[in-house]
Formats: sequence, C-alpha cells, structure tokens
Amino acid sequence: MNLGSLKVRSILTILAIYLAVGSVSVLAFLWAARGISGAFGQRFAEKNAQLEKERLMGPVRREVALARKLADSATMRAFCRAEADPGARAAGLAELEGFRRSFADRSCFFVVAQSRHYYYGDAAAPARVPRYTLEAGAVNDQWFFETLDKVDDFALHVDSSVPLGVLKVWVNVVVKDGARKVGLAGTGVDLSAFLKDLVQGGDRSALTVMVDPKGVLQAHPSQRYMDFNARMKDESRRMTLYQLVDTEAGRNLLRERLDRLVKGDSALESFQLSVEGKRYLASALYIREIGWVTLTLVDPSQVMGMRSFLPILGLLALSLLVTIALVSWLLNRMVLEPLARLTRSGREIAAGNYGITLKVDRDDEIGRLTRTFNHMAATIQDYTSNLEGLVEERTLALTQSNRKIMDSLAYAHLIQESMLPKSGDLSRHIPDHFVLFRPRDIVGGDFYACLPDERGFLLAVGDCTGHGVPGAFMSMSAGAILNQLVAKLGAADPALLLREMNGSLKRLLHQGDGQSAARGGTMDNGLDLALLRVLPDRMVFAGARLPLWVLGPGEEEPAVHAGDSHSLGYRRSREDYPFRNQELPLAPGTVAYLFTDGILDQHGGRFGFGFGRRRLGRLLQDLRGLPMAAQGEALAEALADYQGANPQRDDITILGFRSGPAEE
Amino acid sequence: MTLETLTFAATASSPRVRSDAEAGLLELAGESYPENSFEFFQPILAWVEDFLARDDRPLGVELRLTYLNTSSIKCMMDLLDAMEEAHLSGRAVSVTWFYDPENDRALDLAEEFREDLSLPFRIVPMPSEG
Amino acid sequence: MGDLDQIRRYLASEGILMSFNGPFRHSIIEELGKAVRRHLEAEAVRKSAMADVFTVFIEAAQNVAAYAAQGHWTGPERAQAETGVLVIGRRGDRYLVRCGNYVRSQDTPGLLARLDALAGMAPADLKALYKERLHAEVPPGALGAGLGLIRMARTASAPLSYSVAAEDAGLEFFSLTVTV
Repeated sequence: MNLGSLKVRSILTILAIYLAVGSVSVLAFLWAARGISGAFGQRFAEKNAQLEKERLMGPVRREVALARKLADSATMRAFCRAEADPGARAAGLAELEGFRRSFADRSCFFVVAQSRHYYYGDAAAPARVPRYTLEAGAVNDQWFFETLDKVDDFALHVDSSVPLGVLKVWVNVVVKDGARKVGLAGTGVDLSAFLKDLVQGGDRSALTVMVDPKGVLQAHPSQRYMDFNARMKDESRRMTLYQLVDTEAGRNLLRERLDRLVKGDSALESFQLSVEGKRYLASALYIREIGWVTLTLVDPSQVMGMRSFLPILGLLALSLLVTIALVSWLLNRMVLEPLARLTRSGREIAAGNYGITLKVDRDDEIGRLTRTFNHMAATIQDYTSNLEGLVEERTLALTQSNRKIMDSLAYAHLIQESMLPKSGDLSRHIPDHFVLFRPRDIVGGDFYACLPDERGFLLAVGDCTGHGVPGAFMSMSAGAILNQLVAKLGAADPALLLREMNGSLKRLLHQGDGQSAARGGTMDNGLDLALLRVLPDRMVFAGARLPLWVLGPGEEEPAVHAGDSHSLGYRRSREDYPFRNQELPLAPGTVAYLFTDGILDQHGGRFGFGFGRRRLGRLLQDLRGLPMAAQGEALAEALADYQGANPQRDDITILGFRSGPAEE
Repeated sequence: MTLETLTFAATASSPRVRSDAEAGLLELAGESYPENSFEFFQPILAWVEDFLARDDRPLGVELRLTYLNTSSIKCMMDLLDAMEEAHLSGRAVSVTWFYDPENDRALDLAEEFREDLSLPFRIVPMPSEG
Repeated sequence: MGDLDQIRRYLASEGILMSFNGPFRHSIIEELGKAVRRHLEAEAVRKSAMADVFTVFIEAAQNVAAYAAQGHWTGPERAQAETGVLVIGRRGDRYLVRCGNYVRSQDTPGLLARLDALAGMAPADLKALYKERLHAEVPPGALGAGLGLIRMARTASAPLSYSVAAEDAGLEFFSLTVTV
C-alpha cells in the first residue's frame, strides 16, 4: 500500500493531537489533583491537630472531673468547715484517700482555705496530716492565693518546675460551700508519656510539634532537639520552631498565626509551611489549658500521593489510545484504502492499460472521485486509440515519402556513379589499381576521373564543398567543367587546367558578386583538386590543396608531394594564382596515391582522434608489397577497424595505382 | 574536472612516479617489480589516456628504470602503445629512456621497446646514482 | 642442525654465494633482492651478469609467489605452497640460480611441457614468442603476464633444466636451474 505519505501524515497528525490534548489534560488533571490533595491534606491536618489536642487533654479532663467530684463532696465541705473536729477530719481524710486511689497518678492534694493547711497524699503515703501550711507571703505558694482569688471553678496549671520533656499539669478545683470558697482540691497529671507517644508515635503522614507562644520547642519527634533544649538552661537560647522554618516569609507567617491563636483571635489556623526542606500543610491549635500550641505538619504527598492517581491516568491514556486506534482504522478503511485503489488504477493507466473501470459503490466524496476517475480513464482510452490511429496514418505517409527520397537518392547515386570512370576504363590505363570511393550520404562531393589523351592519361581526384546532395551537384558541375577544359586545352599542362578551372568555377558560381550576394550571399563554394598526368616514363602533378604520395620501387616510406595551398572556385580564390607543375620520374613498380582528406579526418581508435597522416603513412608502408587490389581491401579493413562504431565524417576517396613495366 | 596529479614514493620494488599535467610530463624512476604490476600501473595508464583524450598538448615521458620484471614490461608496453596510437593520429608525444651505460641489459631492454614504436623515442645514457 | 662448519664447507665447495629456504612473500623477495644486489656488487661482478642474475632471481621468486597466490590453497597447504628454496652459486665464470617449490601434481605436466618447448627454441624464436605474448591480452585476474619463463630462457646461457620429485598428498617438489 503506497499511500505512505498520507497515511503517515494522518497518523502523525493524530499522534500530535493526542500528545497535545493528552499533555494539556494531564497537566490540568495534575493541577486539580494537587488542589484536591492539598485540601484533603489540610483537613487531615486540622483533624489531626484537634485529635491531638483531645488526646492530650483527655486524661486531664478526666482528672478534672474527678477532682470536681472531690471538691463537690459534702464530706469535704464538712471537713473544710470543721477541720479540727476529729470525726469530720477522719471522714474527710478517708474520702480524700478514697479519691486519691482513683486519680491517675495516685496522688491528690487538698487545701483548707481557713487553715491554709496543705494535705497531700500519694502512692507512698496517704494524707493524714498537713504537709505544710501555705504562707501568703511565700512566692511558691502564690499559686494558691491567686487561684482562690481568681478562679471560680477550676484551673489548670502547668508545672514549670519540672525538666523539659516532662509535662505535669496541676488540676485545681475550688471547693465551694454555698457561695464561699472554702478550699482547693486537685491532682497532678503527668502527661509526659502521652506527650512522647503523641509526638513520636505519629506516622509518616503527619508530624506533631508542640511549641510555647514564643515558639520554643516543647515537644518534637527529634530527640536531638529535645535534648538540646533540655540541656540549655538559658531559655532565650533554646531551639525554636522558627529556626526550622526555611524562609523568612515562612517565619513571619508562623509568628503571625501563633499570635492569633494565642490571642484567641482564631481557634484553628491552617497554612503552608516549609520546614527543614519539606513543604507541609500545617494546622495549629492553642491548648489554652496548658499554654502550648500544637502543630500538625502534614506532607500532602504522603497523605494522598500522586501514586494513587496513576491508575486513573493509566486508564485515561489507554482510552485515548483505543480511540486513536479506532479512528485510524476507520480513516484507513473509509478514505485511505479507496484512495490506494484509485492510485493503483492510475498507475495502470499510466502503464497503458486504459480499460480500467472502478466499482462505484458509495455516494460520498470518494464515490464522486471514483466516478470522475472512470470518466477520465474512458476519455484517455478514446483519445489514445484515436491517437494511435493518427500516428499510424502519419507514419505510413512518412515511410512512403522517405522511400521516395531514398529511391531518388539511389537514383542520384546511379547518376553520379555513371559519371565516374568505370573500373574497366581505369584498368585499361592502370591495370594495377584500386579505388576506395565512399560518399558519406550515398551521394557526395568527392569525385575522380580518368581522361585519356594521345600520349597518356590524366587522373583527377576532387573534393567539392559539402557532401550529400549539394556536394553531388557541385561535383557534377566540376566534372563537367573539367571534361570541357580537357577537350579544349588538352591534358598536357595540369597547372593550366587548374587555373582555367578556377576561373570557370568562379564565374559559374559567383556570376558578378552583386547578384549572388542578393540571392544567397553567404554561400561560398569551390573545390580541392589533384591532377596527375601519367606518361610512360614520367608524371606531371599539379594540386590544389590535395597531395600526391609516391612510393618508388624499393622505397619504404611514401614521399609526400604537397599541392599548392590554394583552392579552386571560392570567392577568395585568386583567378591569377600561379599553380605549378611538378615533374616526377615514373619508374616501373612505382606506386602513387591520390586522396581527399576524408580518411585523414575519420575519427576512431582509442581516443577518438583522426586517422592522421602518420597512421596512413605507416599503413601504406606496411602494405607496399601487396598488389593494389589487395592494398585497397586492406585499407578498407583498416579504416573500418579504426572507425569502429563512429559515424563516417566526410566523403572518402583514395585512388592508388602501380605503374607497370613499359609497354609497347 | 582537473587531472589528478600522481605522486608515488619509491619503494624497494616499485618506482617513484611523478606527473605534471601543466608541463605535460610523466616521470618514472627506480625499480619496478611490484607484487601486482597491473594494479600499480593502472592509475598511471589511466592518467596517460586521460591526458591524451582531453588536451591537445604534447606529452613527454621520462623513464629512469633500473629493473623491470616481465609484468611491468607488459604494463609499460600497454602505456607506450597508447602513446603510439596518439602519435599516429598526429599528437605530439615523446619518450626519453635513461639507462646505465655500464649495463648492456638495460640498453637491450630499451631498444626492444623502441623496436615496436614509431613515436620519438630517445635512449640516453646516464651514469647510475651511487 | 648438524655441524655448522660442515655446512659452511659444503656451501663453499659448491660455490654457493647465497641460499634461502622459506616463504617467498613479496616483502621477503624485496629484501632478498636487496641482499642479492649488495652481495653481487661486493663480488665485483660485471653489471650485465649482475643484471641477469637479478632478473632470473626475481622472475623465479615471483613465479613461486604468484603460483601460491593463485592456486586457491587453503590452511596449512598455503604455507607450504609459498615455501621455496633459492640458491645462487657460481661455477667458474657462470652463475647458477636454482629455485624450488611445491607444485600440485596436476599442474606439473603443463609446466614441464612449456619448459621443454622453450628448451627447443632458438633465440630468435624465443624473442618472437616473447613479443607475441607481450602484446597479447592478459586474462582478467592474472597476476603476471606469463612471460617469466620465456625471459629466463632468453637470459640463460644454456637451456633451463629442471627436476621433479614426488612428495605426498598430491604434491611434487619442482626445482628449476638457470645458468646465466
């Protein structure tokens, strides 16, 4: 299925949306969760503080209740009224003793206001006689006088004489006789154990700390702090809670709240506090009875950690995933697959199979697309078959016209060939010869001729401008003119013939420069020509840019006789150019070659270079022993070899002959 | 694309090679009996063919080889054949073979190469170093 | 190892200048080449004779190395294939180069045939054959041009002689003697 990019894109988009929505949801969720967790933690802290207060004060209240019962006892009232009376005294002491056994620490005291006698009994010794008598002036006894004075019902009094860590609370209940305050009864309650239990028994979720209004730690889970404070006699240097609070802002907050509690402005304070590096939700209560503030510090993450939310998160993620999977699958089925089918069909059409028709089984966008597609395929098929028909027609027309052209070219070739000397003609004059005549395009601009006269014959090899049909026209004209000139002037003076040809051609081709300039101004046509007059014992050579190569009998390398470097018939060709004759001896067995530059320019070989003079020279040198016909074949073969797969560059003409022994 | 310059340092069994496309010069000097001659000569042959194919400038090859094993001779022959073909097509190429005049075999080897070639091939005596 | 003095006396009596028995790896051939040159220079040998000895040594040694490299030898056989013996000695004013190595039994007939053919050829024929091989196409994957034996035959002053000794496991020990 090659809808890779759309499919991938849609999956990626869905994934991106999922991630975006998911992240936002998760963040919102976490934010809400923290809120919930925080609120919950707070409530928990508050409840915990209250509970602690209750737990701490519980025993105290019990003792208070008991002490009040004691104070309310008629026997004790009677005792206060008539302390000296032995009956009342005995009853009173007995009652006291009875109560004493009920008190938590098995101790109680009783003070008769009138006598200021202080009775005390504990587990060791029941009260029988007053321990001592309270003095109004004694500092230590002030508690009694103040209590009696100010307190109407009962009062709790923290014993400050005990060491830190020990919490002893005195319960003082006023004994009333009608409206009169006649005595004080009470007991001491040692809450140390409770306290320790409270502070240290807590679990990880809540920390309990007790401080006095100044913030000095009274109770703390860390024994180290407690020991420090216990040892520190100087109260001002004792460790405070403030020292454990992390920020200045936190300390201020704490101070503010503690003040409020102590002043009684509020009963319960809840706030966030960062203590010893951890953030807590704090809840504080003032236990007025003992003059301490109890703080519960709750670590919200412990109370209701995020871990408990994980299942919900997991479920959310799972449901989202399932949704996406469903959506993807639906998308696939409803959109991508039909598209894939269409793509496949499109490819079939591209491959040339136009007969596709797809099933249209839905009415939605895909269905419309499919219908349109079918319509398009049908149209293409129509056009294509029409087109194929058209192409066939045109091809046929072209083939026919091409054939006509080829036929005419073949005919032209026949005409050109008929103008050239037949092999028989050449053989008559030069029995041992070869001609390699290869026009580039069936007909061409090269030509050769053999024109006899009384004493010998004239060989001519020419290269007219251009090749193909234009070249052929030129070569016909040149050939005709040469024939004419030889008929008129004879072949004795090749250089003269060259001069005359030059003039004739110029006149023929550029009759008055003005006219031809108007007609086809850029044309400049002419010819390169080599003329060789062969007599029984010598040769006369004249060349216009074409050379004569001669290998004397027994010689190794061909001697090069360059012609004059001047062409015939061109605009630039001077009518008065002095072409010269070169006379050469002709011993029997001499081999002579006339050729155009077609072979020299033919590229091939390893580098695509031209055949070159050197190569031709060496080749002829190698072939010099062979009869000319064999030489011709070998040349043709070597040329074909060198040319390889390259196209023929120009018309090729090579004429070679060997002079035989003197005849007649 | 410019022609890569060849610079091989001499080893105990292969010659020093230096090519200069600017000056149209290729030099080989030293011993030539490498483990795999074809591998060794391949880049040199490629350089020569490349130079001949692209430019029209003359190419001069200078050889100061003290010994060639038969495989090296074969590779050298291939290189010279390429130059010969270019020469026959009209390109200016030349070879100068320096040999130790006290060593007849070296002269024989040089002449045997020259026999098969028509390009300009000079054999020059040169006193051996050390 | 026997009496070292005995070995020295034997070597001297046979006119042996240098001998080597071991692997004919290229690096070793290079070092031996240097040693051969230096030794012959010290002996004040004619440069042409030195060149001939060096030529024969290189061609013979590289033949052995090439044979080992191309024979698709496996395992311990490979080491055996690479191992050769080389001795360079002098007899009067002639130098002798003898080279021996292990050859597979199936390869020996072809080798001996070639040597016999070369032995029967005149110098001009050898040269012609050499030129022909020189200009021929090299089959792909070949390490050498196949010209070594011909060159040795041309350099030698007498036909190449050889001997073959059968060893075990389809191997034969082939030794070639070239007189320069």
